[in-house]
Amino acid sequence: MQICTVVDIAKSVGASRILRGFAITCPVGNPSVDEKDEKAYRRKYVEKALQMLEHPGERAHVESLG
Amino acid sequence: MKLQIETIRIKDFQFGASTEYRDGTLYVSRGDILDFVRQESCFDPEAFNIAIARPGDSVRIINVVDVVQPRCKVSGGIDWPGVLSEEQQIAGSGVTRVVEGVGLTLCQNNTYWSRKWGSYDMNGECAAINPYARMPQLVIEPLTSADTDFRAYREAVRRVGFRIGVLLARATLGTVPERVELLDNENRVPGLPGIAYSYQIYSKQYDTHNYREPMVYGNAVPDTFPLVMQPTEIMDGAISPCGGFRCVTTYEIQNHPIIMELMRRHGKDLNFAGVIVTVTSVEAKHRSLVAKMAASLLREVLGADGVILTKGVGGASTLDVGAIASEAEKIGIRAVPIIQILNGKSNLGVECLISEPNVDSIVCSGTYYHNFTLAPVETLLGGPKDALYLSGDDGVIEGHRIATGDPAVGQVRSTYMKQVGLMSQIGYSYGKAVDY
Amino acid sequence: MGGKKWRVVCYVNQFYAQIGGEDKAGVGFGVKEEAIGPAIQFRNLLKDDCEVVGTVYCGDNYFADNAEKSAEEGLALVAALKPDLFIAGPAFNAGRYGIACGNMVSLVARKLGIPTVTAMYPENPAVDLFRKDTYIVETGIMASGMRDAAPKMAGIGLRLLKKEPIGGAVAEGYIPRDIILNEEQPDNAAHRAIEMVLHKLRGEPFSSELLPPVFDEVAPAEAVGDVKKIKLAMVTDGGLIPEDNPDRLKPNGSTTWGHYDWDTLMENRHFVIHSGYDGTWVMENPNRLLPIDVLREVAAEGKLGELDSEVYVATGNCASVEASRTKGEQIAARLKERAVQAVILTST
Repeated sequence: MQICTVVDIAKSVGASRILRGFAITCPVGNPSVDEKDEKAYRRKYVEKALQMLEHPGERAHVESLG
Repeated sequence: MKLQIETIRIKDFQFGASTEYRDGTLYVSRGDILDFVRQESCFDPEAFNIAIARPGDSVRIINVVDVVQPRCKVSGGIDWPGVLSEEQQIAGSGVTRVVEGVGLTLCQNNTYWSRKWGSYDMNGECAAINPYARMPQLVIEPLTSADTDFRAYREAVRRVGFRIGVLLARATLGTVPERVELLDNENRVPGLPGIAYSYQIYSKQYDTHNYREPMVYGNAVPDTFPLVMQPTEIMDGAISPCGGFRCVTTYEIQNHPIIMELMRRHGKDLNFAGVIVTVTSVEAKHRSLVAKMAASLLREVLGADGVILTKGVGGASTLDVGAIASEAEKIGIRAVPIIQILNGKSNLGVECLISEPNVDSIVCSGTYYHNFTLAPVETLLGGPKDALYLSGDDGVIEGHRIATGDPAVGQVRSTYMKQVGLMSQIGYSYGKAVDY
Repeated sequence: MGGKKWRVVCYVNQFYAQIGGEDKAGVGFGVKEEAIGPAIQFRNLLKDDCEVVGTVYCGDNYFADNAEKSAEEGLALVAALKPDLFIAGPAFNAGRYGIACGNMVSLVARKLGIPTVTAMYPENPAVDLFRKDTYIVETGIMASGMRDAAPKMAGIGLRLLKKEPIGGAVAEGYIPRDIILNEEQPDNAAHRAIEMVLHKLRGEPFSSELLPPVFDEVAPAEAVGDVKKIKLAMVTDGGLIPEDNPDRLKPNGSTTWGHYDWDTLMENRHFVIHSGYDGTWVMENPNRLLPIDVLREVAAEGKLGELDSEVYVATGNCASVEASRTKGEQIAARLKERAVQAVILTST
């Protein structure tokens, strides 16, 4: 599975489990909040990513954090 | 097998009191044509339109099913064996007289039995690139009653057209030909590559009511396996279409561009190894066997080092020539298929219907769907004055009846494949598909 | 045209607007009522018939973070300059810049109904998304291709303004727009075929007029089942590597990759070699690129079977598809050797 921000690129090369990342310069984080909150935020990405791995992939399908 | 062709090029073509060739002008008598019409029980001589269309005229010819070049046997052979005769004879030897500078255009007026999308204009954008619009055309439009059997009608149209062609060629026999050419590939020159031709003559995918066109010596074409035929035989009367236009005309087969060029280069930079004839497969099992048999014949019987392949109209036909080309390449025969694109809104990178990666030498003679908008014309031939024009394939619905379209005499939308003369399945045309 | 000239507006990113590099990629939209950067070339090439009345610019990250909204914002700025022709880029192989140029030309063409031209390297991911909407002139992979691309772009733009025909994609140097037309050749198809087969037999070069399609169909990998029972690895194209760069990755167009033990990587000096994004945030906390901190916690809680101790790092910037495919195959082979069953890949 792939976490990225410019999802159109991932779609065009045939990726099948795409999760929209936070920013180009920071795929799994959020520098505007404090360290503890940022880690909690990152955990959401990781848990979502693991969950996507457990489910069938679909070409060019994109998911986002709630 | 050797064939001598002797050619005369006429300067003008006119109606006359009698059919004759005089001072460079070929005259045709309406009476002689109507004599042929009277031989066909399904035609009424009173309802048989005959006209001459000339280059540059504001003329649109619709319902075109064939274009024929006037030719006749000089040496006593049968003209169009199996079509104009009950007796069979193998065509392709002796001497044949060829008349250049005029064509016969056969139309199927007021019938709804076939895909009738063949048409062409004598002036305008398409005429500028159409060989048939560069010579006077004798256009025949036989009308018939609605209860006539369509098979009888189609075959009668072809017979009348072919008889006129023979008549016109015979009228020139008193004149010494300008050009004589011997087509002969009997002896091979050692050291030159052997080039064969794989000719898919027929696809039944557009048959009307399962009518198999009597294309081979007047016989219907079955789902056959590959046949070996003589190149001169093919162009001298063995094969001719009979029915709806399928992007190849009798004129093109008579002047078959692959056979002619291979013959002319035979013994110079190649040996013309011969021809195999195939038909389109409808089943994968048949396709697979035909491909292997064709490749085997090319190598074991014809001794070919290379092969040119052509197809009939449609997508399934492309799969077949792709399969033959691939099998040929596998056993060391270099293969070049000539195919077309079936889409106009795409790119060449994804539109090649041949999928075998070892077929990497392909000529593309264009897309069917290069569109034209053609200006209104003064004169409409080949159909009633109020006939509708079939745009692409969309006019043939509900049991092949014309249902939609703009008035054919007005501005019409047409496509490259609909324009008889622009798209030749057997390599006679000059177009090539290009990405835009 | 007499005294009146067509009005041309250009679009460039923060780099070509001379605002700055990746550190300024977050800069928002701006307008200069003159030709700047590549627009100066268009001004010179088109000077007889056109006037470049303005250059709209925007930072690549600002644009790409919400491309749709950014394009609307840019459109308003372009429209205010009342252009007759809109030229974006060239973007070469820059992914985000390509997305920006593509979105801009597409929206301007649709909303303002004027001719548009841009230019990119054929493998720029934006090409496939926008080639049907505009003319995308083909460029080289790097900015040095500007000299070739600019006259082609200007030529197409000018003829679109004059309503003169544009030829085929190869002849004109643009990327196919999914229109196929026929062109009459000097020789018929029969002659071309015979020549081709003879060339092939003699082993001489020939040019096939069509080739069997090569579809890059990637079937989705099967679901892994229960993640509590699998070994997972982290892969990234974000270019975070040891300072001595043992695998010789390049800032862009890289053809190599590396695998590094995470703790060793972190304990020693490391940096972001990728020149296509600003690495400040990742350097502050590398877990923002590779979320090893969280993954270790999850594994310790038993919610993930095992985490590979190594991370796998490539540089995605301006990489060709061919080179990327090769790198992908090499990385996959290494992962298989190490019995990895699933991967999370992060992209910048």
